[in-house]
Amino acid sequence: MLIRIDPSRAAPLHEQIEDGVRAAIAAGDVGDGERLPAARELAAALDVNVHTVLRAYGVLRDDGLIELRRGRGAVVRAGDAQRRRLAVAERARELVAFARRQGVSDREVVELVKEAQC
Amino acid sequence: MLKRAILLVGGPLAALLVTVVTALLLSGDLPDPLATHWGTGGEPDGNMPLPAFVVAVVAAELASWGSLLWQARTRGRDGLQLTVAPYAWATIAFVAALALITFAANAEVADWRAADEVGLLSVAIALAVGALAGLAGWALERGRPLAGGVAEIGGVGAAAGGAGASAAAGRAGATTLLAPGERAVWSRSLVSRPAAFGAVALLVGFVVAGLLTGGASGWILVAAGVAAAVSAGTLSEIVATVDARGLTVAFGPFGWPRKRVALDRIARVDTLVVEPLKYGGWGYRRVPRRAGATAVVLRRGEGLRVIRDDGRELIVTIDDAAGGAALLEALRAS
Repeated sequence: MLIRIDPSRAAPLHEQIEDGVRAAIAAGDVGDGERLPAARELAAALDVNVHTVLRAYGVLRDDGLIELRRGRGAVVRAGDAQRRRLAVAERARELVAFARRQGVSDREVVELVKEAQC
Repeated sequence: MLKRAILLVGGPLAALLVTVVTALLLSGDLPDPLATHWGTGGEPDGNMPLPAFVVAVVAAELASWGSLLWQARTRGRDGLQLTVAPYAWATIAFVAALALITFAANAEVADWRAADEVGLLSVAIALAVGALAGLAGWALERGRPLAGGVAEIGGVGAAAGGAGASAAAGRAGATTLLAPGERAVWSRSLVSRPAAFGAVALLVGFVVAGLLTGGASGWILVAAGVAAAVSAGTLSEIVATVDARGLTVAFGPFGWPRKRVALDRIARVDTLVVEPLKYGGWGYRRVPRRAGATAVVLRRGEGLRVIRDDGRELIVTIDDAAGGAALLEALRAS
């Protein structure tokens, strides 16, 4: 699992960490049951405040992707079906961002997706 | 295919048949009710009607078998490892062994109170049978990937390992480029189920042996068991982390102890295929015939190697070693 953060980017650091973990799960870099670095360790590795990491882990836990255990760190809880769904969700986000850059409205994107399904 | 059939049907069915057939064959020679529980002194102190005992044993065996089949249904489709296999096999064999011991003790006695003594030695034998079956279950499943994403990497590692290559599998390919000010961390964990299983087996084995022996030497055996289990447990799990501080390897379920090679001491990084027998076996060890080289070997296959500026080396078996090597290179360059 590779997580990259850049303080000069617009997105807050906790979101960057969250996206990094999400992408790693979606790509299958970390499998179901695999242990993520403890929040304290990840914070030290990325030289950020531990609360920044805890905030990212908290969102991931609320989304049902990881399980937090006191003292044992975070464990990935994403079955294969969930991983596949996450991978598609990543693409969907990319599609929306791409469409906005192209000046295509969100409503049109929904229509285009429906068309593509036919 | 044959291995699968033995694992899912052959083994459990054999244990089930042995239990039921023995009960049927001996039913004429067994008292009813039969002795099913023994006191600490080895004398029978509890009984059950024969049919109820057989049903209880078969139910316990079927429950374990069911957990195995259930996991085969959910994970087997994707060719993933059935992680309950060692435990299911161990339980089935343990229960079957206990049933056979019970039948043997009750054979050819008129009343359950007259049944033969059953002591700790019999329990130890049943535990040993269970441990052996657990190992067999593990052996039948080893080599299969644990999770979907790891499948391809595991496949490559196994194929290269099969070719017997222990030489460097080449420098890490693409380098992860870091923008100025960007921070990155790479982390992977690796669990060795045989080591975890071995830790439990060592603990149970030594404690049972200690109880059987009794006295001061018994306590020494218990202490030895705890020490052996702790060292096996420490090597049952590692987490490798690459960040601006260098490469860190944390051992054991609690991430301690840990070993770090500082980034500014690293002279070179590459990936290789680790063949345990050429590294002196599994565990934390000095590599034979290579001065200053230390290896952490939890399995065969892909590994990450860092060579320090003083020529000493650290080799760690880990998945996606190329990813870790690429980030180390990038961090060194920035």
